[in-house]
Amino acid sequence: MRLTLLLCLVAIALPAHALQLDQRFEMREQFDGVTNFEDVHRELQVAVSPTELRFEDINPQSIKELQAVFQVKKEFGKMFGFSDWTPGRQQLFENPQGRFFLLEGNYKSNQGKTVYFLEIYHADRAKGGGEYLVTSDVKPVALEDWKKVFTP
Amino acid sequence: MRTLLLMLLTLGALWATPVRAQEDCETCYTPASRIMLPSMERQFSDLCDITIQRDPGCQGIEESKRLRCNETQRQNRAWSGHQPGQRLLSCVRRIATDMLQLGDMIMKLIKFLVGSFIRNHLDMISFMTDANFRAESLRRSGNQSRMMMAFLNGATRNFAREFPINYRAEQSRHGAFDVGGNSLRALGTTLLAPFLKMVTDSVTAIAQSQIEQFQCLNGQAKWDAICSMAAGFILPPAAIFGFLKYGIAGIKAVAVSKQTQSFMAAARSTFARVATAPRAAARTVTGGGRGATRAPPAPRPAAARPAPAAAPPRPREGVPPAPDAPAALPEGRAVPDVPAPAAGAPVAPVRGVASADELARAAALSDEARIVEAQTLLGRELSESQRTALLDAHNVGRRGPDGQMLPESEWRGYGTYTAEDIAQKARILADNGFDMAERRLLMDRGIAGGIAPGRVDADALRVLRREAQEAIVEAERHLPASYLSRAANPAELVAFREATGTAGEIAERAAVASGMEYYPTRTAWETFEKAGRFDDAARLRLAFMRARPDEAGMASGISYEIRSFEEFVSRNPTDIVARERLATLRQVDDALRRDQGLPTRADTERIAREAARREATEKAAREAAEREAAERLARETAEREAAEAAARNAAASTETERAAQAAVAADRARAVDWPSTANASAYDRAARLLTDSVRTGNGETAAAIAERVARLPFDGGFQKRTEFIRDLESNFFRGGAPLATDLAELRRLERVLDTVEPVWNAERVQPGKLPVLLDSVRTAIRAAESAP
Repeated sequence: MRLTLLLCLVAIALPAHALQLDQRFEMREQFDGVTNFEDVHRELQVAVSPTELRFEDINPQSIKELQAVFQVKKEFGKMFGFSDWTPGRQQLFENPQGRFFLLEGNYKSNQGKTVYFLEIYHADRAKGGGEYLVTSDVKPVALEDWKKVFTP
Repeated sequence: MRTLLLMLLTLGALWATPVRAQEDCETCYTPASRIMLPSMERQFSDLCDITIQRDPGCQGIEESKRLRCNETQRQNRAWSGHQPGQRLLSCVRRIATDMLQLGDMIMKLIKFLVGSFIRNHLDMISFMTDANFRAESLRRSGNQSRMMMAFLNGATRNFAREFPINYRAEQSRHGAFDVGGNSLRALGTTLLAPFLKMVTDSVTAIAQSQIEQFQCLNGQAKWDAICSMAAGFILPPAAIFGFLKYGIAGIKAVAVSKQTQSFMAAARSTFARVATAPRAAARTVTGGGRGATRAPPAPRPAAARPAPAAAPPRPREGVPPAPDAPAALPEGRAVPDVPAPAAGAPVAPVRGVASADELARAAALSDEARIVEAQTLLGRELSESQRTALLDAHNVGRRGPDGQMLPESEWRGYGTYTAEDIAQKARILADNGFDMAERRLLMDRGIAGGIAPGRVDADALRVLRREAQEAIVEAERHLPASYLSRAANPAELVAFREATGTAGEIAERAAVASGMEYYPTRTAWETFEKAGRFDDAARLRLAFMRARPDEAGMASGISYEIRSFEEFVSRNPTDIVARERLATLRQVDDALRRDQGLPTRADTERIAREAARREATEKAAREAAEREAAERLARETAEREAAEAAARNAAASTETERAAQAAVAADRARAVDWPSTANASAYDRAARLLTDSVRTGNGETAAAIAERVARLPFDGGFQKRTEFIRDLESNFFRGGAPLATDLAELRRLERVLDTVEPVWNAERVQPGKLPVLLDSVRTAIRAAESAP
């Protein structure tokens, strides 16, 4: 009985950590499972999709394996409207809201512009989380910019 | 007869397992699909004539489109002699008229590809075009970690980000009206060709598996049929991926789904229109055996749905074939539900039951728009009473027995109307001159109905939201493209705002249809904000907050947004849009607070201002009182201390003065009358008193002696005053200058001379020595005073 109560309390408490997109992002086109948002004033775009990642999926070993398929994404780009996908700094960290893997970099769009991106993979312990692609074609988006994406 | 029976058995078996049937009954006859197999290459011309004559399916095909036995098998294939790329683009231009629809399909494709064992983009092209490669990569897939899958799936987000940008670029290059072409070209050159090939391969596979007569077509006719089928209908993604994954078996596996069945039926219908022989030939039927005939289709009733157009402008999945459409093709089970093309039949004036999205649109009509829609539908003007009746019928299910509007949550709508509701609607319309056909039409099309809150039709909502998005994108075309690097002119801005306003209205319909869900409603209010219709934006936002008060975080979201905008506006005071948006947010916030019986932001600020003012006043008064009290205390203390000090000083000065006066009196008492020089001892004593008093005393004795000298009468006194001055000169002066340098002594000496001087001057015609001595003393005093 106590255990059930405890679990209920944990279940109630956990969603409180769910990340909410900063209110300044305005919704744009929605595709199958992916919603585009834009913060006009800060010239940032975010493509958001739900994730199947679990908390334990984001770990140093999986990140190491991930780097082996960077090349695949470079090649994917040619299929889906961009090229020269180039990764930059990466960061793996954990806080009370869950685990995060951040990856910054840039690619070339079909329009010939350099697009700076920050990929965010997030999973919490309650099987919640999300995958985010933060982009800007006017200024670099750095790892540290992840804080601009979510409502504090 | 035996041959005929065998043929029938063969046909039945072929539908289930065509290849086995052929093997089992090689001697019966060779169906067209069989002679198109590569293994039959050599026998093609020999078998072709016989097959075309015997194959019941081929008999329904127009002669010019039938397999040409005098050509090679290769020439009778769809791709023979064609360069697919450009031709595919031109023929499947309408494969997805909607950018979002195509985007959704590609997203699914990306996820599907990511799930397979793909290493680079060449692999992906191979995957989409090479069945063997596909089988192998699928076999090797399945060992990727979730993190890896998530990362590779991230390509969908890249695609979702780039695709709309590419689409808009294509629009500016090729114009807004080439909708399907724009969205296809937005895929990019690398993806476009394999994607088109995959689509047409899928269509071909579907045609081959589902339409027996397909193999009876020659190359050009095959191409035309594929092109029409691909262009006219949206391929259900399940069919594409089924084909990609399992080939023909995959298509059959997914053929049981409702969407796929709809597509198959539509594809067969298109095929029938494109490929079949004229009506006379079409009536030849094999359902009861070759040569049997089916009764010609009955004339369609007025309410029947017309045959689908070759390439409807906005085709949709899930549209079931009309139940009353007569079958007209000769292949029996292959096309059991295809409506026959009725050449020359009049276009039916009635369109039939509305789809879910049409109902959603109808439900969102305003009163005026509803009347206009009804008039358009019925093709006549409505009288005043009919207009009222229409609106009354529309509101049935929303009013209670007392005629008052029910709360929105209790409304009934499409799918929840009671039999009594429907009867009442019909009665209202009938009583006001609508005939039965008109009543049926108004109700079937949803004009006399509405949506019950909470009944959200996902498909309809999606359609409405897409329409809104398209309208938004279309509105943005009124502004100069970003690459032109110029600001919009006033006319462009006005056009943009007007178009965005219209888009906002469409988005509002989607919001209403969704039951005021957050995202559709937010899109609507943001669109209104873009259009500068801040009141509408505030109204919608408020409607959302009122409809969904329990949405987590929304109230705090407003506060946060207000704070953010306040900060932004304070930093960017010239940003008018931000200022107006802030005003909108405050307006909404105020209304919400009023709803909850709380003071509004303005009230709060006013109360805070008043409290601050009151506090400041009280503080000032308190401080003033404290200051006054402190000053009074200080003043009183100072006064008391001053009084005490004064009292002390007064007492001290009285004593000192008394002592001084006593000393002065004592000194003066020692003074003597100046004696004659003849009395030497008296003269010496008087001269000593005078010298001591001037040099070391306080000068009072000397002054008193001088006063006595000055008071002497002229007779006798003139001589004594002369001797007195001469004595002073000899004792205190040398060469006319005073010997003393001490200022006090000089002042005492001056006082003595000064006392005698008036009498001296009065009794002498020439001033003599005294004024000279007095001047020299005063000069010495000035010199002593000015000395440091």
